[in-house]
Amino acid sequence: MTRFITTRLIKAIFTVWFILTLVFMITRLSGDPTQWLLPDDATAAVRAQLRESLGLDKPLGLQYAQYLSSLFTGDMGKSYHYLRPVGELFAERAGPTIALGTISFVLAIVIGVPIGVVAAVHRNSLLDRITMGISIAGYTIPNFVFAILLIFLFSLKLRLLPSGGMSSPQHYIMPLLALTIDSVAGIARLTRGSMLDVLRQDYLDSARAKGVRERMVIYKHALRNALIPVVTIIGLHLGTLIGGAVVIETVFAFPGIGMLIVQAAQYRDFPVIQYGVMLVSTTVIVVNLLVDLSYGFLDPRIRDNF
Amino acid sequence: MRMLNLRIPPFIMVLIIMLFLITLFTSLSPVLFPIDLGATNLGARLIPPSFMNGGTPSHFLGTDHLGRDFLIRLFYGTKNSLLVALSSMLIATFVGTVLGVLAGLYRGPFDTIVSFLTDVKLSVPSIIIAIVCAAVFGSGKWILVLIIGFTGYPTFTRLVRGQTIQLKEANFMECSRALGASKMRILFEHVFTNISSPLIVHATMRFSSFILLESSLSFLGIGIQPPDVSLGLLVSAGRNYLINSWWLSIAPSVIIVVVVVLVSLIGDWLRDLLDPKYKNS
Repeated sequence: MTRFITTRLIKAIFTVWFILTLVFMITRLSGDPTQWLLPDDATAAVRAQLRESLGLDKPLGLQYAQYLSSLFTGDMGKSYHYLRPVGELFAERAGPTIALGTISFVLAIVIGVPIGVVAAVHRNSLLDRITMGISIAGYTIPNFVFAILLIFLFSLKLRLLPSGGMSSPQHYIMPLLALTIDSVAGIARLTRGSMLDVLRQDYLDSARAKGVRERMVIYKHALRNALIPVVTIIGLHLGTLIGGAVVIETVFAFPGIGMLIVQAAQYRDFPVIQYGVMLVSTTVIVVNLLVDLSYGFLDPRIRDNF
Repeated sequence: MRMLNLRIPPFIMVLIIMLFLITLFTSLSPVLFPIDLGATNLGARLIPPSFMNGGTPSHFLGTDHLGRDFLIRLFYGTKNSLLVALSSMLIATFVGTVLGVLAGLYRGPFDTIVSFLTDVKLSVPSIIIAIVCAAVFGSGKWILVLIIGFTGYPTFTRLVRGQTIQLKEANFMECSRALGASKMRILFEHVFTNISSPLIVHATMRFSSFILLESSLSFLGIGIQPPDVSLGLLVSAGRNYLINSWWLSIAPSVIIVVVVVLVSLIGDWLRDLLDPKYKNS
């Protein structure tokens, strides 16, 4: 088990390092930022001064070393656009995004898994068809379209909810709905598929033959095994959720991390982009590491192979 | 090579014909409507469709906020969205297959590198990668194709690599090698024919996710740029006029959903047909 954990840990650290290096190289490829930060008629002296204040006059190796060490010091430089420390910008916007993401993630699991189980147990029933129909709709309707439909219905027609901003709890309702429907659909479909595979297994019949009650057979014997692939996918799903949050925040003018990153792309604000990618990829990798480890705990076969 | 017993159920046939017609007519839009997409007519802004109050016969679906014919924009938008999704699918399939086959056949350090890159890619959301690339390389139709293609290939690599490794163990591969078949012959006669079915299914499934990614990126303003047009861009442009001209956002949304549903249903049918694992379930 220790070997299992250490290999995964080393791999995760290596992956984070690789992504950071890649982002550093790509952003340096794009040339001299003073070209688009300053007007065309700016003098060479002014350009040099800006480069110096952004730390771009130092040798590339030193910049890279500073960039990596900033992971530990937290000083990721200044935003080109806001001219403020990047860490500050993210700290201001982290709260709403984390709240949005976490609530949606939890809701998606709490709603999606039971729907999938019920649909699988009552396969081909009306209930199964309805839930799977809804889940296909959730998968095929892009989240920004869903968001626009919500705005049209609740903000413009019924005038119940605000269409943008985040000054009150009501502002969270529509972004949450739009973000969650996608995840619920995906998780319900997966749980159903995984559950159907398990329900076909012979060991469930042995359990029934032993006299175990049907409810126990399904929720204890079957669900536990069905959840193993679901847990893995839920880990991978986090990336989709973050991608969704980026879009949803922009639609609802919800000033979180996602909107910050999208705007940074439009302004070519590289320090912000670098920090954003670091934050997102580290989160995904750490969560997936935890998922991998829990996988080991859930399934003794995996634990023993390492 | 095994012949497919291709009996297409009527329902699927209808779907395929619908998708074909959508593709055909929208790809003909430069011939059907040879106009300058950027040309505006501020005197004719936000005219409703001709079958609604205040519509004019000259603009069947009305005009957008800059007075441009909305029907024509829908045609061009669908064309561009389909074109971007299709081209990126081809890139992703090609890159993914080549890397996957090579990694599966030769294993060793090459396989380690390819698998590592796949894992790296899968731990950063596509939309974030696309945002970084758009910020660095700019945005536009063909840059978008490259971005989506190269963020989309890893799932293909994963599939093809797994299939190739399985095939390597198969008896008939051993026989073929023993009979003295060349590497190229084995590759084309056995590997490619055997991975083609799962690959086609996977490519179809991914096609709809590429359409969604394209429209999301264009919606965010980092995909296709005006005066060029795509479905995501149309949804985004129309959302400021939801109160009075809701169709400007809703019509392109409906097209996105219809195309994704068509492709997904055809993909599901193909999977059931080609993948024996699902046949009896």
